[in-house]
Amino acid sequence: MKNFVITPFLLAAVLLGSATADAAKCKFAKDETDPFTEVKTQQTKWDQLTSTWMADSREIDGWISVIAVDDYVALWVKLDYTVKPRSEPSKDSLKSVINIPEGANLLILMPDDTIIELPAVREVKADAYALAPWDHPMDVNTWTVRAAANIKYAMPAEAIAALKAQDPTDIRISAANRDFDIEIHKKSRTDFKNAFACMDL
Amino acid sequence: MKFFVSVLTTFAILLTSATANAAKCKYEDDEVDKFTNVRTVQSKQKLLTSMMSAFGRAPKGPHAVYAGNVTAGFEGDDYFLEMRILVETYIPDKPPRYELENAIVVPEDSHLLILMADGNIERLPVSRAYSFNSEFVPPNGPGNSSKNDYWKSTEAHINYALDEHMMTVLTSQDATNMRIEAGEDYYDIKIQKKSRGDMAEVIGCVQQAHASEVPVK
Amino acid sequence: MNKPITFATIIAFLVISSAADAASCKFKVNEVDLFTKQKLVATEWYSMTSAMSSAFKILVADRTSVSVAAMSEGDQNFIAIKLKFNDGVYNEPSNEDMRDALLVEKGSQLVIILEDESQIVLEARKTVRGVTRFGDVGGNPVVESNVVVHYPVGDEDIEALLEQNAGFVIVSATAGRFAFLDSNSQANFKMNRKGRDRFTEALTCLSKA
Repeated sequence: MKNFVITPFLLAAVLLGSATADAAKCKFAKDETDPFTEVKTQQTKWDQLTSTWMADSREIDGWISVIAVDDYVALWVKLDYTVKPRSEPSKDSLKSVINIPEGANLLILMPDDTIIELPAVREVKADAYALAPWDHPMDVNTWTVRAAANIKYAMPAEAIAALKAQDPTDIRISAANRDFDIEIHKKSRTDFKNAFACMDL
Repeated sequence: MKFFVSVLTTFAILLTSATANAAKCKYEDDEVDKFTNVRTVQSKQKLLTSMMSAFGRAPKGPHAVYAGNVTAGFEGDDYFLEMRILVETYIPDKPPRYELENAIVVPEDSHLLILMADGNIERLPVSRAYSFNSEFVPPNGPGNSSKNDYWKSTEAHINYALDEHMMTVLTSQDATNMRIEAGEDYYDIKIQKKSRGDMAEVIGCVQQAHASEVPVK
Repeated sequence: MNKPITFATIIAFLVISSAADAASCKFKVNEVDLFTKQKLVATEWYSMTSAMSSAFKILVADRTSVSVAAMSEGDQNFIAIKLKFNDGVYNEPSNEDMRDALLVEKGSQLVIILEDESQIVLEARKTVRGVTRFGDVGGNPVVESNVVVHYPVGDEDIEALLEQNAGFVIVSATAGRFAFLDSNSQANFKMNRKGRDRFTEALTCLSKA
């Protein structure tokens, strides 16, 4: 009888212990220390902000990744833009579809309506490519125009603290001629917090 | 007591009729930007041109518009009138790429000319420069009823700034014609009789929405 | 004499020599612009080439067709020329070749040489790019360019044109890689009787608007 009572507690203790251990483990894309300079670089794998459900029909998709090089922390945002025009787009319309000037802000909206602003570290421009209906594996009725870009934003200590304190609901990527808005899927709202936690930030 | 009741009743009737008028207004958009807290409202568009154009009696010529719609809106405290036009033509051969590019260009200093019922011509400045490309659909393609010809069309949505004074002027009477300046070209809209009050109506609707804090959509 | 000579006055003088019959005038446009309040008039296009016989004896370009119309905007009159050029090709031309196939720049000349060898020189009112198409004509790949050019024309020139017959008409333009124009970048037309008559008809009809 005694054994039966103790075992569940032991089990729970073991499970809890491993859970905490899991929370501390990142999915790293990079985790290395330079053997000569001893500079430590860690970068998390891309984490999708949006739901994978209905991803194909979404115009704007986003992923984040946090990189820490010693004390320097930055946020990478991968932006995927897809539109489906009915007829062939002009060459001009494909140029610089994503155009992020240096210093353009990433706005992160928090549940209490405060906004964190992070400037883009450098300019990012990406042209789109067009797929004809007959070239696309799935969509045979329209053209597909796609553009993707990875944008690096500076991440100061206050921003990290704010993102650990609350879970953001939306982000807005400011570009030269438009904004790209992404509503953060419920399950992805802790992505930032988790990235910081597993990197001991 | 009786007097009080009748006053209340009158008031109730007035309120109801105001709401009834508001009920005629339809909106395609009413949202507050999550980041800037700026409210944007846009009325549902109204067709100004005759539907007869859909049955092959479309006006012809370089300034002709197959369909012209009007909508009004505001972004924060900035009101605008938006014209949405479709210009189209049937051509026997496939148009080359370059011809589709920048088919309609509206320079920064362009205006929308509105001919009012009393003969006055009002001018609205365009909000920014625009450039629109044409599309084409081959014979028998989706949306093209012609068996032999290509259908070439250009859709343009153009915003014009509205100030308080202009809104008062434009809601005071009917409008009969409009001209959209596009550089050296222009596009003319002949407003069908039953739609001559539409521009005034959509402006009135967005003014109403602005005054009311309650979301209209 | 500061008062401009109206068409009506000119016609009064030349009504006997005029080849135009009032009843045959057809106007494509005849209205007052609602916004500018200008009177707009345009005659139909009068073709100067026909499938059966050539009203123009063409010196350059094999398959060219020419039409003329007359128009006015308020007090300003214009002669409009519509040109269509063809050239055989081996393959479908590039987008750039199509775009640059035919261009008439603002100020390009239209020279009309009259019987007495005097010249009337008109200038294109604005730059116009030809509308170019690649098509199949009876199994032969062909590139075709159309362009309509408006040349402002003054009263004295119109008077001269109605008084005398035109001998040659020379249009200056810029062509890309297709053989539309001659080595002087011109299209040269020798007018014969039918062409002259149609030219006069267009100008005469304008006065009757």
